[in-house]
Amino acid sequence: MPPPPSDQEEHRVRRARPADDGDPVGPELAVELNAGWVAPSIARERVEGWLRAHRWPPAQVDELVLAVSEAVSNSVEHGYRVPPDALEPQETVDVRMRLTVAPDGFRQVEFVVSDRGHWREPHRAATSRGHGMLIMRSCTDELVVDGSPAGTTVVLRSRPTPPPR
Amino acid sequence: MNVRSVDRDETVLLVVEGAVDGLTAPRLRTAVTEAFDRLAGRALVLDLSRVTFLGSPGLRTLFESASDAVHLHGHRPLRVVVNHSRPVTRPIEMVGLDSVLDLYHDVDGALRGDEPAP
Repeated sequence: MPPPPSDQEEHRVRRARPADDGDPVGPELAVELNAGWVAPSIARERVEGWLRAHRWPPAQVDELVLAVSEAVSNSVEHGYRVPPDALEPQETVDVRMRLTVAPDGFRQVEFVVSDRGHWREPHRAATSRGHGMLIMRSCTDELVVDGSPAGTTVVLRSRPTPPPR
Repeated sequence: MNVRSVDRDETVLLVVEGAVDGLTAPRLRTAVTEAFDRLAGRALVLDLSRVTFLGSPGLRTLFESASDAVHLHGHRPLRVVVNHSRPVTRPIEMVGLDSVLDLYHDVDGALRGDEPAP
């Protein structure tokens, strides 16, 4: 069921930049998002469409969409510290996704979410960032967070998945 | 995300629809705070069965609301209807929110204050 329309939805449609993003059903897709609070929802839509195009198992689609959304949300909130009402931040979040097939036919997807903000180590689990990390870890086979003063790169790898029938 | 508020004699029901993420969670927080302010002894029920996405900002809002319900307003645990929708139940379980909320699978049970789902 699609979410109810709102002014944010309209804003989101206008801001999507499909011309820059390449083939939405290829084995690789790169999406550059403006680092506003609408970025996680655009990322969710793009990741979901790409995974469905590759006939990824639906239950895993939900989990991977959630994990990528958390990574993008983390960049907006903690990397760039974008205030909730900011409309036109200049910074960007890059989301790259890649599908690989092992010799036995099992498939895996990898998402790389990167920003050029300032990573700070979460010090408590009971914060949204602690929850975000917990969710990303729960939804993936492997989570790598590479934080530096120049930015943060999060790599999320799916569980190996049998080929579609 | 839309939040619809239904006032009844013994409860205030907030029906939430759509995605609860960093963009929309502040509006949910405001709706919950306003509902608390006019409870006047009634119970608050949050119906999340039409929520399509729940991320960490939404989870934080639920944690804060649950804490306010108990500490500021002296109520029993917040009643939350989650249906069986995985996009809602999975994140709640991942962060352990199920231990601080009274979860229900149907609105009527939550409004009556039945025994919560295990």
